[in-house]
Amino acid sequence: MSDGAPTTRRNPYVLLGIPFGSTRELASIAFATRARGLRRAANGAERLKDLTWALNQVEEVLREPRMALEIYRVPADFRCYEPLSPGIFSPTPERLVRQSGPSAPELEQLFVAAEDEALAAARSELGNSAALPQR
Amino acid sequence: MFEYRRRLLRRKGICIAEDDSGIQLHISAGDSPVSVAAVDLGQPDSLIDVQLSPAGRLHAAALWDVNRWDKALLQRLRDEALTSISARRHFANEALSHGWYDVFDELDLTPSEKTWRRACEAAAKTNPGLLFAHLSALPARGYSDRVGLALPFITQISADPATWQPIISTWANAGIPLASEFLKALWPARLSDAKEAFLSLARFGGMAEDRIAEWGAVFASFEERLPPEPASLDCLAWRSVAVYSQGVSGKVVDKDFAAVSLLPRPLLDDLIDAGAITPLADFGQLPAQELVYVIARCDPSRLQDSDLVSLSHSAEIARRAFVDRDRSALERLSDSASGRHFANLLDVLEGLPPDPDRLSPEAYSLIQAVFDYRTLVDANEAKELPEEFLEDPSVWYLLSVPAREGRLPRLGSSLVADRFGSWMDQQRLLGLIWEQRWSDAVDLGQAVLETELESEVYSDEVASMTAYALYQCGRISDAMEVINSALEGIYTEALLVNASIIASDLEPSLAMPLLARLVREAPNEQLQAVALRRALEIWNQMPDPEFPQVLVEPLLSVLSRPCSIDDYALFARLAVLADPKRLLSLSEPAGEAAGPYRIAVARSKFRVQNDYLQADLARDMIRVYEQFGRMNWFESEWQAMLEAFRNAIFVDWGEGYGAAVFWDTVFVECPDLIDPIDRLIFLPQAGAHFAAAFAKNSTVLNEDAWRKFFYAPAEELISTSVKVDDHIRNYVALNLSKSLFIATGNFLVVSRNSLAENYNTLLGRLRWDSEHRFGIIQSMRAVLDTSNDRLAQADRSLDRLRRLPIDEEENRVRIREIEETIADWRKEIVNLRTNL
Repeated sequence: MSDGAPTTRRNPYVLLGIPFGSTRELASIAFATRARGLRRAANGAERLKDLTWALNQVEEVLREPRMALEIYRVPADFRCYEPLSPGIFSPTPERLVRQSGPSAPELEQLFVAAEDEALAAARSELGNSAALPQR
Repeated sequence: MFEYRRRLLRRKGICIAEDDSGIQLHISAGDSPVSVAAVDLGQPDSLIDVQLSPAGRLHAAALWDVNRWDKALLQRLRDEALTSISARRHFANEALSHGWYDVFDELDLTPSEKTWRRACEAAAKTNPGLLFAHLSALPARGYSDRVGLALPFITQISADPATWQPIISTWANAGIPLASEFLKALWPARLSDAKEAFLSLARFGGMAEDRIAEWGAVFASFEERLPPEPASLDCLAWRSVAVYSQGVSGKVVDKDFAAVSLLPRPLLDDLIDAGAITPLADFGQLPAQELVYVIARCDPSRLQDSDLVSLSHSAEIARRAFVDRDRSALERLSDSASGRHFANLLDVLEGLPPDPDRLSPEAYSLIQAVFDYRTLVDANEAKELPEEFLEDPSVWYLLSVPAREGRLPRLGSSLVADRFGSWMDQQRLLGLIWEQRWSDAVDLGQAVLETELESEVYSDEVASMTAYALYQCGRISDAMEVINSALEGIYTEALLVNASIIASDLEPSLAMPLLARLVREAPNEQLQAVALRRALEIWNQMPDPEFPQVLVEPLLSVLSRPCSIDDYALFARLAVLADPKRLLSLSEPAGEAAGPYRIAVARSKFRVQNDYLQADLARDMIRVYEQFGRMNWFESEWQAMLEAFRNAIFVDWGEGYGAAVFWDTVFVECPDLIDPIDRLIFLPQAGAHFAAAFAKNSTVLNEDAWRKFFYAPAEELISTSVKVDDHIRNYVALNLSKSLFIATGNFLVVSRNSLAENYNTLLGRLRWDSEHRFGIIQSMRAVLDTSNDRLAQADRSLDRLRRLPIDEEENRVRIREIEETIADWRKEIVNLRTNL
């Protein structure tokens, strides 16, 4: 096919106005919405025929839409239509709140142990540097 | 001690007196002292330490040879040398250091002084146990340098308070200098109590000033609860408290996480609450019981669902259920506030109103505001979008429908308003596509693509939709250009599919590399196979029959992974065409796919290996059939192969030898694989090719071959046991007639020429070899007998030709020709036999 001639390739999802790969239920709802009032519209019969074809495709033919490589994906990336982040509808992971009580006793214990180590280190250096008195 | 030399005599002597002219040497108890001039003296004997005091030297010399000396003399001389107290003290030290304890005990010193000197000696010999024993024996007062004597042993002393604390307390009580400081430095209640005492002792002990200052600073920092990190790696608690203090003061301590990983949970929680531990820390150093807890507190996204359950972390469980849109999981969490909150969020996403009793107050307030605004939009009364909506982009989702339908008012310019505007354009673009307003979609899409979009994900999506709109407008080159730009960088599988659709309409060959990419990058084998099949469909529509090189790699790649048996058979068949050598390097798949694989391998070998012949191919096919039966994939391959060998046999007689071998092999080894008509057609064909090929080497078919290739099929056809249409029977009979005629003709020509040559050779010999005349004539008769046998064989062929169920002129011509040839040869034989 060359440029200039409109394509005749029909896309059932686009015809129904639903995302690629939508369920049969969604297709039925979309069909009902779009078909409403078409009988009185210009080209209504033709468009109804298209919609009927599209519904049949979704309901009966495209059992595994992902494997239908001849159908253009609209949307191509569903992430673009999900709630953006961050926010109420795109919550970040919830951190666990603190489960332990006050830390004062453990901290005091830790300081005592640390001071002991510091004093021991100081004493060690003192002992190593001290000379015996003259006899 | 010196050496005394006289003529041949050399003896050691002890110097007992000296003056300017020389010395007197004591040689032995029996000798008088001898004078030795100073000029005759050598160096003192090295046996005696010259650093000793005179008394010490005398004592050491006396010990050298105790039986030789005049003991009384030496005793007297030593006593003379010890008349002063200082000499005695000096000698006392020497006696202790040399172990002359008996002499030490006899020295004229007070007992306490002797104890002190023993204590000094114990310190010098680094023996704290002995040191303690002697220090304990000292009187309470005096000997003020006791702390100096004990200071080098401060580490050992501090470790043994039961032994040392009483005695040092006694010193302190007795006012021994620095004893109180020593006591405080050894066993303080807290570090702050020891600080001044330690610094005093450090100065007393001679520690360098800068070190004293540093220790002073360390002690002070402990008082301020912000100690520095220790120099020694052994000080684990000190190091932990240092890192902890930094962390709670606001510093991120991820790099030093090992130092705090063993702290009790409340202290870890302090650090987490202070933001000092981030998800970047190496949590692997945590003990198992704390690992899950700490990760849950710092980076819950890394936890398994089971971990969350074990921690009863319902808030994250509920969040995950919401993200997964798992309503039943949320219902199970309805007892928790998080469960109710996220369940109602899910309701809202599905179109229900927000519930103030279930949502958090902040969430309810914002969502209700969006609902109110949406009502205004639906009533066409909306104006400016409230700022609060912009701050939480996740709630924009609730405005998707009016955005797609183009019913949201535009905002002024600001960073966040621009982001909202981009989102709105993207939504509207999707709306225009669904409304099939292609030109409007192209205009909007191209305008959006010219702006700076937030991320590649969004620009790719806009490009995909714009390309689709262009494609629907028939501007396929433009569509290809737009979607190609989206394929740069990161792209999705769907984008690749879209690009391949446009490409296949623009120029099918352009779609090949895109589908090849899809095969490579598809997340599962099923989609890979589908993509490959799609590529092959497009290839089938292309005028160029050459297999696209770009598909070779994907083809082999798909064959190396599991796929359906039908796909495998199709792809393997194509791989034989595409790259038979590389197909041979593939591994055999498991299960039924092994059948198509072995066929493909056989066909590849037949294509590329010169020593793999038609018989090998036939046998490999037979083996696959015997293992798997006539499966669809086998039947399809087999029929294609038979067709190829049918065509290969209809060539000049003798040229179809290879095809004849194939048919013969299958007939002999697995006749089930050939249907009756094929057997009746291709066995005679094969036989005729063999006969023609043998004729070139002047050989003929043997009796069994005649039966197999011609007589058995002919009898089957003649017996009318083959139920076929008349025109097929006629065709089969004509084919048999032709094949039999060719084989018989070759047989007659080769046989007659060969036998004639034999006969003529014998005839020539008969002319000159009269001696063996009788034997030669017998041989000539034998040749004629053989000729008769051959003619009988030809008669049998002629008989089948005559009885074939056909009434065609071409058969009659063949019969006549064979009859004439036989008659002519037979006549010749009769004549020759008559002349013998």
